[in-house]
Amino acid sequence: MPRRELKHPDQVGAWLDSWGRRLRNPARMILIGSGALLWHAGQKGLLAPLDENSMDVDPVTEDEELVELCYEALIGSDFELEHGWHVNLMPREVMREFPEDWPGRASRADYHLLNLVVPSVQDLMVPKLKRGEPRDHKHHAWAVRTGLLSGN
Amino acid sequence: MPDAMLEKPYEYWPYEDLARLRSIRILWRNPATRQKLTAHWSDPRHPYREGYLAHRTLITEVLESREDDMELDRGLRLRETSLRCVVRQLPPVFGQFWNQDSHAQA
Repeated sequence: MPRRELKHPDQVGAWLDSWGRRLRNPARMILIGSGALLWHAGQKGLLAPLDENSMDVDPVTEDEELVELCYEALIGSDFELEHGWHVNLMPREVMREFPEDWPGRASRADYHLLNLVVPSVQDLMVPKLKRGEPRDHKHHAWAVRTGLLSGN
Repeated sequence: MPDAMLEKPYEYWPYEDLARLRSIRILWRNPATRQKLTAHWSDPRHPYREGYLAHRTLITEVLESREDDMELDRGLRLRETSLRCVVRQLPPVFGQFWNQDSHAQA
């Protein structure tokens, strides 16, 4: 039975690995949002689940094969039925909500043919704290508690 | 509304709508995927089939347009619609038959 929510760091890595294996050509993805926080946690080997579950991941991509995978996994898709969360494809303009120099602090990783770029935890928090919904503050508190983010 | 204001004609669009326009345009550029999309959206099992068929001409026009989006939106508004209205008519895909039957029918 698949998990019905996105909250564990290893779920993001498993999803990226699965999609990377399906690509036939190199493709680039920028990952933002709580899925990106979970990715950072996974990189550090943390097991702590998010305090408040996420319903989706937020990738930015303009590479055709990856766009098609995202399009098949939107809200209400079979992907969501299987995983319990969906893919919320974002346009490149969403990166305007981040500090201009975010690429210099970003992390990068390759999952087979998938080249992943993830803004730093500090940068990921900028649009979240600007939005300031209760779940955003919970995610911030989680990042501080797990040591992903300094509490200062 | 995002804090970082989008440029016209997208300035009041949710990011999801802009992503939908961009992503389907990317898919539409590939003739095989374009054929697969039109077959899928026209499939009798697709819940938005009727809406797609009703707006098919306009949808095709928008996806194939080489005009700047500002100009495209201006022209559509003269016809009592808008670029965003057409984007909202772009149907999703359903995996159960997106990768199977529709492809065979295309």
